[in-house]
Amino acid sequence: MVDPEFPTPKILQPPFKDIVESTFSLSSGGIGCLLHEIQTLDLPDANKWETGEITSLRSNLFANPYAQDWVYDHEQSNAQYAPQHIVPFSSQHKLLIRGAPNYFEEMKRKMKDLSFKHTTDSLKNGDADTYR
Amino acid sequence: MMWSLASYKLAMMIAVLDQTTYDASKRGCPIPSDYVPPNLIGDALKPWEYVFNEPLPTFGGLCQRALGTFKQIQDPSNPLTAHIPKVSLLTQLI
Repeated sequence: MVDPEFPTPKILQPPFKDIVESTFSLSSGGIGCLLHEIQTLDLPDANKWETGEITSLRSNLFANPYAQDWVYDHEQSNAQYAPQHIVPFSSQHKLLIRGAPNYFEEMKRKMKDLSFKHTTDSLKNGDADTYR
Repeated sequence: MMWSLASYKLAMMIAVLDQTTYDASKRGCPIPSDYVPPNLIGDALKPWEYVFNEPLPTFGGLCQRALGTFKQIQDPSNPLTAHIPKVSLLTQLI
């Protein structure tokens, strides 16, 4: 018999179950995969099978319908996945996630410019053999 | 710049987790701190141990590491991620 003053917590149900499980994903950029890449960022001989997670926005976590409905304000159109309770930092979180494509493109463009400058500087300094 | 991208992406993941754990908590089904997805128990656990050379962390452990790592690599010049260290992610678990 359940004591009404101490109700038993409900078990995880979709979409929470799905979104929680996707954080552990090894194959598509879950948190574990990203943390591992961060840890090995400075190691030249590290296992780089997951290279690209940092520079990519690909992740089951972001593609989850729950996250999509929350970030892009689909509360009215898809009640099945939309959040019922909005976290206090929601507006800041949405700004962060919505701005990601522009931020990533800008940073990657800067990295390419730096790489190009490094190459041309090396050629000017007579390091052409390096690039043959 | 790689550190900047890494801190940005990690902040995005923490943001989604913050919303999810808050919503779950308010709905009366808070996520247990020691939760491990059933599909990663047993044989499915072996790839994680092989690749990462460590036991599979629990949900709470992963959140803790995510926040700790973010604080270490945070890009102070990025105003979009400045609020992340203030999230109450861990207290929303049981």
